[in-house]
Amino acid sequence: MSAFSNFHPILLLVYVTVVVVTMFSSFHPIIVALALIGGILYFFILHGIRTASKDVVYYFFVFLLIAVAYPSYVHNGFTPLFFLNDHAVTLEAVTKGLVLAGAVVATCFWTKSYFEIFTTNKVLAVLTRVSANLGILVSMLWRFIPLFKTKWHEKQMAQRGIGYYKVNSRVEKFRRAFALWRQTLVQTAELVFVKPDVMKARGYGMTKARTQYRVMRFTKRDGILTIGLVLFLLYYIGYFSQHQTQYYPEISEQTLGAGHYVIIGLLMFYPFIYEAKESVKWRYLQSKI
Amino acid sequence: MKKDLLVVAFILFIVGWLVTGTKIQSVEEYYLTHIDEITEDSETVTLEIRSDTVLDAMDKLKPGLEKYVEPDGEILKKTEYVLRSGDTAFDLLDRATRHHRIPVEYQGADYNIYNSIYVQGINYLYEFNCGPLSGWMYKVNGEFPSRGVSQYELQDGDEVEFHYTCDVGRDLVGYIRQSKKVGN
Repeated sequence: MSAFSNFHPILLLVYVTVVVVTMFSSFHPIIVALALIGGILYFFILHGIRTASKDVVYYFFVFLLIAVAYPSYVHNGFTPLFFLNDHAVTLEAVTKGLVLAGAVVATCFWTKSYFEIFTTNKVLAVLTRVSANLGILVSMLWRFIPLFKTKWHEKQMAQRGIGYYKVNSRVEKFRRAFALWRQTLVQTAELVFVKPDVMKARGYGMTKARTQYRVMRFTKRDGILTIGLVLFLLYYIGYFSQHQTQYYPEISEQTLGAGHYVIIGLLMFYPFIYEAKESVKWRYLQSKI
Repeated sequence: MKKDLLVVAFILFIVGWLVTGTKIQSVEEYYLTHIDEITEDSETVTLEIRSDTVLDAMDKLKPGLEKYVEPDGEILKKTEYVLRSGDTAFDLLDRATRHHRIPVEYQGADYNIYNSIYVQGINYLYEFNCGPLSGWMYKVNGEFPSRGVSQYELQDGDEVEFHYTCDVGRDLVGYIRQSKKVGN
């Protein structure tokens, strides 16, 4: 369980969007590096060093593949390093390849961590806020697919056991399988969709004022952080839409001050810092008696 | 499983890349080209590379490239070169640009359906850099051949010109509107 995941799901959604959008809109080597390191550090916190290092080794190869493949296909650039089969391998293309590989790998780590903390119940919580009916519909659908799978397996096994498929004709075999599939579909649909109807017929939930209990509350802290993130996004998107790093034919000069890197770095490392702070606090609060 | 497959794909890529004949040259080695001396009885052709059209369409040019556009539109002034037997227009371009250290990027003949080399960029000016209809075209003796640049065999006295266009050739002198094919 991660402390960062205790934030409101909407905030988490906004946060990951801000990180990825900032990275891709700037395409700046330092910002991409910050996002990559931040993503990997948080991934380590979520999964522990042992499991995470396996993934890091794997993604290192992905990184290498992109970083090597890119400059061998793009030959634009002011400074040729050497010539490969009569095509220039340039410093600019190598740099861009590294940045591109970093951005792709960073996105992979962030989305992996994100889906780790953004669980089904959070999706439902967000949807219920939008509309209670939508929440119910989605939860029904969510229930339907795994239920159908289990039922299908059960029936397959049972029918196979009593020799349902022991026929020579393939067409007949397929027909029987289809019949079974249809039956399973009807039965599952009944379980998932008809039951609520029955409950409704009994007068369940017919009163207009239906209340719902919300586990996740959008607190003041969440609100402030969300507004901060949105402002951050608007400011930097405005900036980078004018000053996106250009790689061809020469890498464009960077006019961003050191202070901006600190702010962006803080954003990228925020989950890691928060997580570390919480674990220190947890240790501190444990009774020594 | 998915990860194993990717690792295998990676190794295959590297091995395939090394096996299919990689030639690594240093910058000096690459630009070291031999240009034949012009003698009285040698067959010659001329080559010219121009990008005038960009100057009229600076608003369409990709931002950041303004510095690299030649102010007079002349990348290579009309120069005479010795014609070696079997030379195509591309061979001439390759030899001359190497000699003058003008960077050229092209797509090899195996990589497109026309079985011809396709010139993507000369002197940091690439296709699509000046609007979606821009690119490099070539002209021999004032006409735009409807053949690929590495399929056009040159004759003695041919005048080859490479032009950058911002409008599939309609902004160039001598472009025939009827022929749909864009040269090079």
